[in-house]
Amino acid sequence: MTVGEYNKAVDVYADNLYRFILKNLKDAAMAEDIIQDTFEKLWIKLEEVSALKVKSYLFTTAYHTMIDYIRKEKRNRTVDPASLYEESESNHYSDLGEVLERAIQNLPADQKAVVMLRDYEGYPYREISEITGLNESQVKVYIYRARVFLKAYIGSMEKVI
Amino acid sequence: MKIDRHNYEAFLLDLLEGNLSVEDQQELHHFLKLNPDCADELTELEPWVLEKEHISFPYRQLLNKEFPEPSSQLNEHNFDLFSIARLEGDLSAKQLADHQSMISSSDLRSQQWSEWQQTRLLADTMVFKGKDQLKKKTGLRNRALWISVFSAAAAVTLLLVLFMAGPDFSGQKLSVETPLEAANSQTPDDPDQPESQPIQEEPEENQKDHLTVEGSTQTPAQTPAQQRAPEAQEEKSKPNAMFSITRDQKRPLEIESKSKAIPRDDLQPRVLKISAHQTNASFQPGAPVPDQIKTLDVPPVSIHLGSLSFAQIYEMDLQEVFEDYTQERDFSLWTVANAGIKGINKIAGSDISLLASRDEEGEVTGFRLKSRRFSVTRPLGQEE
Repeated sequence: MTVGEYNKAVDVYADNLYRFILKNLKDAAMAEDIIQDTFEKLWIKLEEVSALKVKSYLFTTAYHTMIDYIRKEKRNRTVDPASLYEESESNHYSDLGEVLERAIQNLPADQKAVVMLRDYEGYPYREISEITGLNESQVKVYIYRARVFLKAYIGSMEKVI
Repeated sequence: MKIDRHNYEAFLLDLLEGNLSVEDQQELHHFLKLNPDCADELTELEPWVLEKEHISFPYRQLLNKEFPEPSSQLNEHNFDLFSIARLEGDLSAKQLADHQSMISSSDLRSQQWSEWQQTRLLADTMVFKGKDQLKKKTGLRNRALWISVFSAAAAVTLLLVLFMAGPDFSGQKLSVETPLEAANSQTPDDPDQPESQPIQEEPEENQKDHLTVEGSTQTPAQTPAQQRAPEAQEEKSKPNAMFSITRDQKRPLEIESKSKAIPRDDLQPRVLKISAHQTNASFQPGAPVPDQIKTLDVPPVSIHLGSLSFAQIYEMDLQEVFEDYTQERDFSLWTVANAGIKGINKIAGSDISLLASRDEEGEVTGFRLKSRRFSVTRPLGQEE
């Protein structure tokens, strides 16, 4: 990979990578740190990383850095749907986007990451599997469960609205 | 087998494990009625028998496959799974057609399908502001390398110009003294003590010349300290200077003759001083008169790395700087020398400038390398 290709990767993927991490962490400063750290790692391994694999490398590195951060901060928590609905009833949302955003934040970390990679980046199961280190079936199961959770959450909020 | 007090325990165990036939069970119960004390043991054994409990894995449903197989058929119960699979693009053409058909035939299914579609995340635009900081400058290393190489080459050329085109340097001696040594030289110590004398360096060839031409006044038997003694006396009368180049008054005549074209003033000892450490007030009567120095018409170096932040240096267009040098078509030695000085200034952050002293006719008679920290003057020899 050349310096030019590296700079092109910055142009093409930095925003997407930032969105992916920011949506997961909801911490802009930490997301920026992770992006800088990720590209720094790419720069160090510039000669080893192929330009064709750079996107996957970036998302993989950023994902694992993020997971390490989440584990460190003990933010990886499971959600009791019953308590979630109680919580959601006490809030007011003006549109579906906010409801969906709230629902996403209540997904378990693994499901949140895979569904974002799927919807935001359009990754197939195989590439999500490579990025997250899960097997393809597990990725598929997580996505399906995330959809069920999101639909249930949206449905409950629509009743409130 | 007849049950008695010696074997009834084996029958009890078989009873608990369910291995006793109906006839043996009836016979055992009859025996226990006749021997009630043996029946107590049956009561003690009963708690050890585990009753069958209905225990189920609470997450069994999670183990089920949550997505339809390509061979799966759409029905009323798996409509949601098919809806998710359709969102993910996992349905075959036939499954997709069946799913669409079910949606079209029922308003409820149509409503449910629209709810499933709402679970898809929409990517909103986000801009990472630090993108420019992540980028690396292409070709910066090469340009910096070229600048360094060019500057080094120019500096070498400058040195060659100054020390090979100038007068014969063998007749002069270079004395270098540190401030501490200079202070020691002003004390009336024994001149034989080497540490109290300024350090003087002279090429070996010059020392040999001294011995052959001035054999009558200097003998090889003299110690170096004795040879330096008169010179030390001269040094005491000079202004305090960190670096000084003096002309040896005792140098051979044939060397002296080479400098006849130089004005008489130039034959006076020259003191090269560090201007930052010496004020004009320190000059004494009889001290060497500085040359009339005029600056060359060279544009000043406006950028000093020492005064720039790293970000500013990073943004410097080094290619433009390089082109400033190379676009010069008239490559005189002065151009090369000044380019070298510029390069050194840019790399080291120094403020060295190259000046020339000229006589009344405008001829260059000497050079001076000057900065805030030092000033070195060098006369330009003119051979007849």
